[in-house]
Amino acid sequence: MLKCLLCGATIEKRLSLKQLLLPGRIPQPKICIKCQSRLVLRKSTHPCPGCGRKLLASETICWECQQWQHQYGWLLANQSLYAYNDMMREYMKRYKFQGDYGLRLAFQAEFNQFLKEFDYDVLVPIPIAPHTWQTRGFNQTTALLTLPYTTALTTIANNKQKQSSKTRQERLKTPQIFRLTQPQKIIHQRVLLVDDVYTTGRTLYHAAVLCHQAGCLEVKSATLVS
Amino acid sequence: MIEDYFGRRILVPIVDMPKTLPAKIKVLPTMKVAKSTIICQRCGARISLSAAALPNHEFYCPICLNLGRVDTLSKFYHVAEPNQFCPPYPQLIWQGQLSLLQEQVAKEVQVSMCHHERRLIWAVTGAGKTEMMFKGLAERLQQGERIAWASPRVDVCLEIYPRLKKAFKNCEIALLYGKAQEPYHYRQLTVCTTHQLLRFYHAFDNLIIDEVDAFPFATNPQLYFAAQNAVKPDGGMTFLTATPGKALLQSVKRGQLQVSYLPLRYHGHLLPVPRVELTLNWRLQLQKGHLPPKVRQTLQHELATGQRFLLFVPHVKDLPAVKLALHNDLETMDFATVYASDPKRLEKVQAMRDQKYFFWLRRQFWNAALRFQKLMS
Repeated sequence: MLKCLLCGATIEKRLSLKQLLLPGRIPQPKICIKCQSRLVLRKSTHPCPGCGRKLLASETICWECQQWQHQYGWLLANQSLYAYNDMMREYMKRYKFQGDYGLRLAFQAEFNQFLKEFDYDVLVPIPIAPHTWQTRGFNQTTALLTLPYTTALTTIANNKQKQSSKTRQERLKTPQIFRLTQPQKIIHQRVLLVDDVYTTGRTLYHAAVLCHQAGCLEVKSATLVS
Repeated sequence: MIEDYFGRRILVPIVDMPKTLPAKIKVLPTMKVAKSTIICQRCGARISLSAAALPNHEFYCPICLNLGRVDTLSKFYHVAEPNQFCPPYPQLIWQGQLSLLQEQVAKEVQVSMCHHERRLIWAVTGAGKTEMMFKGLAERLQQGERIAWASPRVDVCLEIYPRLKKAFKNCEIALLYGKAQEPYHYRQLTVCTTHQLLRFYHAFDNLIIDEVDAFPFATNPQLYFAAQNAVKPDGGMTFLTATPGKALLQSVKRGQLQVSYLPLRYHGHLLPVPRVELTLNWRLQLQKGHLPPKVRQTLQHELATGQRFLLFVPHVKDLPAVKLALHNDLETMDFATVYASDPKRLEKVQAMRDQKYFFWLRRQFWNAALRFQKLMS
């Protein structure tokens, strides 16, 4: 019996005629229809070209991305799969902060399918701090990936305070937290940065700055939620 | 504070552990890793390696995550329970009178708590189980014992806490439950949900489990494991219930559990016997916005006599329709609806106790052992 990874309800599975008759693997649903109905796809809204979050009908770019444009002269063109609603907040709390590693499977198939639709040469996930490795025991971003990826970034030591424990203003003031370990792997390449959540954009912009400096052809980013 | 570790197991990431520790603090393992399974040392769950795996051959317990993750990246800090309480010990100031039968049970409780035995108090709703515990509890507290009063249901904990505060002098009580705002304090008497027992290790000389047959304790082997671990190896356990399940009764049969049985409520009346009435197509009538006539008549009668009551429905989904029908058919609006996962549940229970509502709509099977004055007669 299949159980929903998020709410524990039994998943009813009805096979289609095509699945019954034709060979091939039948996809195993990880979450129930009720939980699925609570997900909001970012694509289905009117997304900001900078951060991928919902814009008002009258806007063409959000205020926050105007600030980034002003600061760096370019935009990240982030795209996210799901909106950060109550459902995803609860999911991130359990997956990332309680550390329920098994929950990586909840959206793994959908997220990798989403990433496949991008044109890129190398997939570069955002790394986590060594202290997080030694307590959480997993990188929440790479755990979501089944596609091959390149570890080109590492965190600079002494940044013990987690981004998620800071206010927006504190986060925006955070100095560079990454360093490139393998610049040769991304030079002249189209890089797709991957992270779990886009919140202020600070983390992803820090990573993107390094990629631009290393001579990447193009830098974009994708996250599970924003 | 070293007291926070007394009789408890506190998770500490290995990377954050200092090189030298005070000699009192023992470092205990969090997991047993066997060939194909891991065993969580906190909740006792046995999980396959694949379901418990983290990268780099580390493991975690996915079962008791809510209390902080138990994993091979951390250890427990533990300090053996020293019973470090300063006199004057708590003193019973409750003045109530026990009936003859209650007195007898209270004596049995006193003796078995003294000898750290395991005893089941099987008594009907309203028999005065709490009051029958007072004497035994008071005597043990006077002896400097550390005692916990635990229940699977947070409502019971919130209800018992003020009653114990009132009944004892010089008694500071720790009240622990999932959403509690107060931080943990080391106290001689602890009132907590059975989930909170997972944090304790050989802490209590006597453990009382109230409504031992309520969900989720009865169906959750982790909680039973936690209760066993929370008492000292030579500690006693007292189970209170009106409806003992198979497992408890079997323990009684095998002689592993003593039993005190009280079939009468304290005023000597028997429990009211439910009467079954048939109403046909009641869901259809509800859809039209009306209660079945029989239900309407009964409720009107109850309201007219000023008797407060609880109304149960079979499913959470039925609540809105019944609510609407009540608005249509009855003149009063003084009621509230509540269900198990209601975010405002605890507030609503308190409001009902404060007599703010005339009646209440609830889903069925939700144990009605909440105590309301003048409600159950």
